[in-house]
Amino acid sequence: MKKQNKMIYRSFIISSFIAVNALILFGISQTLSFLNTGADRSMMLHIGVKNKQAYMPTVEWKDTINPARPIEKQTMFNIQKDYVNSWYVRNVGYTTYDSLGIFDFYTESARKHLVDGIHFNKTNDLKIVSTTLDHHLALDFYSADGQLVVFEDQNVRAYTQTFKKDSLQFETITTASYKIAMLLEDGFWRVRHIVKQPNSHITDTVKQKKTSYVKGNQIFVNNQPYQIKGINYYPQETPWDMFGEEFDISTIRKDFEIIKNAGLNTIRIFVPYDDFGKEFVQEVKLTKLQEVMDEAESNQLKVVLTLFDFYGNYAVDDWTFTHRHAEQIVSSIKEHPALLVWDIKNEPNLDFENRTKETVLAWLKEMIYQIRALDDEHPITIGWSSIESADILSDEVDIVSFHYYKDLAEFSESFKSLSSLDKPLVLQEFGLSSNKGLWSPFGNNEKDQAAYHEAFLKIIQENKLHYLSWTLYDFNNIPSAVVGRLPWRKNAQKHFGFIDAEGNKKDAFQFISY
Amino acid sequence: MKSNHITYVLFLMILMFGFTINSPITKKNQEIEITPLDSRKEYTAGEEIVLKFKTNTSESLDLSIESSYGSTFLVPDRQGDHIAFIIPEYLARKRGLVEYNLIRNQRKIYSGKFQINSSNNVKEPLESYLGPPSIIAGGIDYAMLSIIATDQYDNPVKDSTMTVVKHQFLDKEIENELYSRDFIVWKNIYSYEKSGRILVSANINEIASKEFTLDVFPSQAEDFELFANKKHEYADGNQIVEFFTSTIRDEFGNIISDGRVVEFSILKDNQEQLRTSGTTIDGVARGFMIHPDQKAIWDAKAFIPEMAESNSIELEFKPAVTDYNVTFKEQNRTIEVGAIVSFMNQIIPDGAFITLHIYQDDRLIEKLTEYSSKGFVNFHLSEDFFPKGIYTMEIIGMGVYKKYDRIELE
Repeated sequence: MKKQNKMIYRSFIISSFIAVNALILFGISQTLSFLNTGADRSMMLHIGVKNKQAYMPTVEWKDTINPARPIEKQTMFNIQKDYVNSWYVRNVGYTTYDSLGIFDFYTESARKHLVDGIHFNKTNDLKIVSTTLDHHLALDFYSADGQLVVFEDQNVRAYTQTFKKDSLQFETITTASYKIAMLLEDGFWRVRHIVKQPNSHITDTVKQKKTSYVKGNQIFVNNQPYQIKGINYYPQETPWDMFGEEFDISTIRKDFEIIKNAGLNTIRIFVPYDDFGKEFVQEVKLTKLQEVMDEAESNQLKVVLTLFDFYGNYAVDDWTFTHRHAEQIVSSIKEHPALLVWDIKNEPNLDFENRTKETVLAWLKEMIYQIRALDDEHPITIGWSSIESADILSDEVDIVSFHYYKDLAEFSESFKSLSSLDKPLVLQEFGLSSNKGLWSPFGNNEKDQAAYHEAFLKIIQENKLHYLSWTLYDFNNIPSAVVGRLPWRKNAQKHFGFIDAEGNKKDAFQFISY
Repeated sequence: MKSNHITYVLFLMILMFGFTINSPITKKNQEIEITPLDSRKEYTAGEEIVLKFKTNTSESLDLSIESSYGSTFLVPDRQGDHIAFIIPEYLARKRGLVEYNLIRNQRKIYSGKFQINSSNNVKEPLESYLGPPSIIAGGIDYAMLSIIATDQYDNPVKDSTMTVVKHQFLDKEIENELYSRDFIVWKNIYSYEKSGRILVSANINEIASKEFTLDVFPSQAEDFELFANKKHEYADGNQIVEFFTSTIRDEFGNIISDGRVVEFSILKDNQEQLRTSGTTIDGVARGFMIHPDQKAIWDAKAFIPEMAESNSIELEFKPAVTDYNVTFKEQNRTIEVGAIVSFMNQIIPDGAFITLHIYQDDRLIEKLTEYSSKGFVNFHLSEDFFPKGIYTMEIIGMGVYKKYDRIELE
């Protein structure tokens, strides 16, 4: 026994000796390699400055006519980049009181004024969180030697939150115009003057022809009143990952046939924000989405397209990225004949607690504006998780959508609160899990589920509701991102389908539509 | 008439209904009255700006402000039913539109705006830029003077401020009156036909910019003449020929800038190309080339590449050496060439070079070159390199060629 202890001590001492030596050697090598790195010559010309664009508002050059010198494409690009950066460092400066970046994008005389403003806010415990959303540049002057530029930035949309002692005082969306002079100094275009001025008028663009629209509380498609009879759809094998590696259009085609033959006319599908590539939407994902839309169209199904699935940031400095994301998706899908409704976000009210209600609502409002600016044809909705939340932003959306998973008996009572809204009402998700079993011994079985759908269909018909049920299939695997890791939750989520995991129609299937 | 009444009543009912379903907070909002006590819409930068309102509420109201350089948030000074917001100095100094909102419980209840104009005190010197710093004579090229005049608070001066742009060149002094637009005044200063310096400056009233110097460089060189100067006409491989150009000028008669590279190109007997170059000083470039060592005809021409060229001139060199003796000594292992005498029978200056070609069985096995010293050139053929045998030797140099067959080395 003693001998064994001795061995343990000995091996411990030897191994710690080796470890200490390894650490010392590592430290020395790190020091040496640090001392061997010198100043990088590419830094002088800023060509080595690699930075991810921290902020991406839309920038559009309205005109470049100026009396002095025709402007080059590359110069426009450089000016635009540094000008947008100047707004970014300004916004960061006002949020964090850190004026470091301001030194790169404002000239010495100009940065003083900005720093004064930041200093004033800091001493008064004020914090301004702000982001600009779009810029419309019109060139006034570009000097012959290419060192000085004067331009207007017309009707800049910006969102601003004002905090005092960390409590929100005021939030607003403003439109303002500026005249800016910039100088080229050691490779950077720097703001020399910025002067706020009255807005100029932007002429409206020509309206599109409407294929689907809302009038009163009715949805019209091709000028005919349209009743949504629909279902939320994920393929059985790849729930919540519809456009991933295992994307298979032939499975989706078969499923769409089942949906169509069941007498339904609409599906709701989801575009995950991260999976599609955030602000740089991947072409391959868009192609898959197009294929799904095409398949829906050939099965005479309309699509409620839910954007920003699994997105949860909403931070003001992230806005412009989400706008770029929406821009790419909306502009590539908006012409599609199968598109019925843009659903901006699934159950955003669940994020109120973590991300503050004000921020989430401000993001939603702005996103409605952004999408409408890109596509003023298709109606817009938000999929609220409960009836109680359904009237939020009801003035902004075209269609009011809500989900219902509570007791069927209480539906009619809570639904009354929505009767005063003069907008089409869509019961966008409802359903019952037939998950009676190990994880839920007192749960519902398939008979209960069928009864539930039968009863709900009656209520829907009575109230002339648009509806999309949850969901076509029972799923085998539920990603943890959806309901968390707890097995009983996952299990419940597995059994909402009208068709079970083996592909057999459950009792509820006969009540999938009326 | 009756229908009008109905609409009116209906409107009232809608209004009342609207109030009843609203929450109490918004109801109160409607009742707050805000009356601005100062209707000024324009201020001058640096002035004290105080926004005063009369209100019927004693609740706290704040002011959110957006100006050119950012936003801020102010709390009022209150006296009874009057509230006043003092715009901070840094904000009151900056030109531009200022928009404000009176805020109560996160809602705007009153909005307004005013304009701050730049002050009339223009800052000296005027902020101005001239570029590029040098241009070319002839009246086509120009530099641009741009002036962003600012007031004492660093605001760009208001539009249509009259600015006098002056420039002087030789005996000309020219003034132009210009009016600012988009913050700036700009003027293109064109070159004249003469090269030299243009001095440029600007004034707003008594306020001046600094003085700018604009260098006007001569325009492109025109064709020129080439001359050559040689000490004698013999090909002695020793003296130096000097090539020089006429004074090179541009089309307006300006001597081109010093330092312009001129290339001299010489075609020797229509075979070999010789090159030298020189840079101009006062419009004249010089190039040097050593005399050939045998009679030759040179065709010389000078260029400024891609721009200008000279006429071509011909130089003829007579042979300096007509013949010399070759003596074989020490079992033919030492070969003495000389004395080499030049055109006046003088010993040729040291450094004339003579080449010895050695053949064995019609095969060139060695080339030896030696320079003359005191008129003689010696070759020594060591036994280690050239074993006993029969060789053929050629002596070439200074335009003379001699061949010796069957020279036996012991």
